[in-house]
Amino acid sequence: MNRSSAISGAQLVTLLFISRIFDFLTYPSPGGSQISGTAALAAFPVGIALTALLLLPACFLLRENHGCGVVDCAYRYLGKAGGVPVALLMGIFALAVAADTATGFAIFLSAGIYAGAPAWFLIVTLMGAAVYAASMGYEPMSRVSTLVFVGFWAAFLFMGIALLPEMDPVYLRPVVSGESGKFWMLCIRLALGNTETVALLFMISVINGKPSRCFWYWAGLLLAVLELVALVSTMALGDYGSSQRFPFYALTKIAEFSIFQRLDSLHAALWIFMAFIKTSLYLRIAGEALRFLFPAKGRGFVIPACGAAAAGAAIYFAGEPRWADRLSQTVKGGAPVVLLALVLPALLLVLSRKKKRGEPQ
Amino acid sequence: MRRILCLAVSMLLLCGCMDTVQLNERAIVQAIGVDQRDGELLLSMQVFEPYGGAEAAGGKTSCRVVQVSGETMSEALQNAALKQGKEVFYGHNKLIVIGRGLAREGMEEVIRFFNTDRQSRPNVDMMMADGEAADIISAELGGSMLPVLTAQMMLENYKTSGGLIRARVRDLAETLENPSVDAFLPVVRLGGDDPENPMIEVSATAVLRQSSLAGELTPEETRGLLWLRGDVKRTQISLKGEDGVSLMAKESSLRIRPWVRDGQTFFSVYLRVQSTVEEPLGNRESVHLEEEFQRYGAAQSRQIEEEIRATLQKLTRELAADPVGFADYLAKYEPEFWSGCKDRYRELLPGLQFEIQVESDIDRAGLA
Repeated sequence: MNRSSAISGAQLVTLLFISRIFDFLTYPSPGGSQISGTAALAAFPVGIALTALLLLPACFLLRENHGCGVVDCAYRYLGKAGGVPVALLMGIFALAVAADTATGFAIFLSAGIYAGAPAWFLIVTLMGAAVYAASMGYEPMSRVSTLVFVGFWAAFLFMGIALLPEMDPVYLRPVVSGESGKFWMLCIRLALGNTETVALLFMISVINGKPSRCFWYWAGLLLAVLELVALVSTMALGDYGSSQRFPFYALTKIAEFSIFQRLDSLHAALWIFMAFIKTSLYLRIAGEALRFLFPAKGRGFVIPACGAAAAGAAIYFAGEPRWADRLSQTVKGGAPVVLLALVLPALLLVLSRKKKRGEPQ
Repeated sequence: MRRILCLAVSMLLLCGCMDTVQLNERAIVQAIGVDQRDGELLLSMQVFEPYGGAEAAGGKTSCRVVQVSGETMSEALQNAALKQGKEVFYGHNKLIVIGRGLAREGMEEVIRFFNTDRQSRPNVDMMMADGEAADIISAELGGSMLPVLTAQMMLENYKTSGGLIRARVRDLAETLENPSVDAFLPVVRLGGDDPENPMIEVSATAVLRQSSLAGELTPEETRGLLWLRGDVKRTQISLKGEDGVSLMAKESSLRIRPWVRDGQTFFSVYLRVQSTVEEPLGNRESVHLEEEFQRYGAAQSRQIEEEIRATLQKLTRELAADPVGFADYLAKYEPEFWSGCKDRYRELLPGLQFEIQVESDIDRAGLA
């Protein structure tokens, strides 16, 4: 596949980190499963470990096919007949994630910040900016994500200091035996709901650096932030957190620091940037995966077309909250990640090994 | 050049937020009182009036009170908008006062509204009026309406007051999620020596049990509650039996641990208080300073222990309420026991046993 711009391993890590953390900043309680904060704290490392296990076949495959992404491998081992459906699947998946992100963005903004603001306006504005960014390529996107990454840590540190007086360790309750089912469910959801693993496998070929090292840096950063967010939320919000649809946003609302009252505007600003980066990233992936659908002369329109499709879907889903939930559950429910990050790479790995065995020594 | 032009044109679109409302079209609410009257909620809102300097100097107050009623909070607020033709904005509301009648009947609906509403902030202070909330909100104090900022500053400095406790929307909302723990509200009334110029004062602490008024704590019992919550800082303590001796409790550190033996629940309450002698010192030349410190320390420990015991007696035996959060300690340190007893925790409250240990550390006296 034609790659427009290469990025460094560190840039990929920040891009994927910002994209992943977006979901957690409007995270409706740990896993939405009424699990205690302490259980969530324990579930995060297990979830990361499961993600690493999930990526093992892909890791072997990409090591044997240096410089290729999963879609490239599909073209290599399955031919055009197999490569095209895989690219189509990848494109649809990326479009669905972009639409889901834009839907969540519009729902949160109209519920929490601009009550009654028309969802279509928010979505069209976001998508317009995202299409432009996606057309620019991975490198400019990752430069913006680096700025947001620095902003995120500065804001998080500032908020953590502001919340120190509110923290009470009494809310760190031990995991009770009845929670083990919910605990494992959360671990599995964390691993299978991680759509960025698919993005990582697609983008492997555009990075200058060791993919496995990128994964571990990304996973380590993610784990650190998730643990910190869960720890601060649990200790500062206590049981009040369970009454909140967006606990992290609630955290920013209670944080007061000297003359700075309500740090939610800080959260909203960062979150909007994160939504922009995530939408741009997935539009870019969708555009690259679906290029084959367009004639060579019309390939400049792939990303705008993807943006229009994602915007249309997001406008529809934002008006139908039940369907928006279903879209979110489908995207993050596990099936797409299992298919694209585990089953497909495992199948390609088998074919790759078979082909190697068939080659003359 | 084309890029600069595009940038300049795009700037025209960034002219502000959507659906702008001008300041004179907004009713900026500073304090809200909620009462129950004839089966409806009566809202008394202190609305800020942005007058110019000349009008304000002419003795006109900078706020007015708007009263509306409705079956629900939303309906009442909608009626407020209709009544005055302005958009009601309570994003900067600083105080919510609940009427005694409503508190007695139950205020879950009101708490839920302020907890989930987009405009409302979780850190807004809440109080209970010793009567109607409307009287507190509309009282003219010294020629001006209730100075909300004064009331709020009083609450913000609650740790130094020693007889006043602070409650915010999120504290009350938390008890809806964890019904084993109860909330409290400072009780306010209009008082003072001059009936023409009343002052706002905190008279007691209301203890709520599952969002309804269960009883009240005196200022002394309130201090017991403050000790038990580790919320005491720079508080004056006049020692009983030590004529005219006053200490300043600078810091306190609290440690509460539960344990269960033969089905009986015990709590050890360990409190360490650091104090300084405020007065009198220096005029007792015959007595060794160290001995005096020890005596004051012992007297302070005794007094604090008595305050804590009296508060615990009232809370657990009389009111069967847990505003301290003992349930949280059980959930953390005795999780197995807690999971078996949380549904009948109220029944356990009168039987809870407490071992209280107070240590006083008197380290210096002012600049001496």
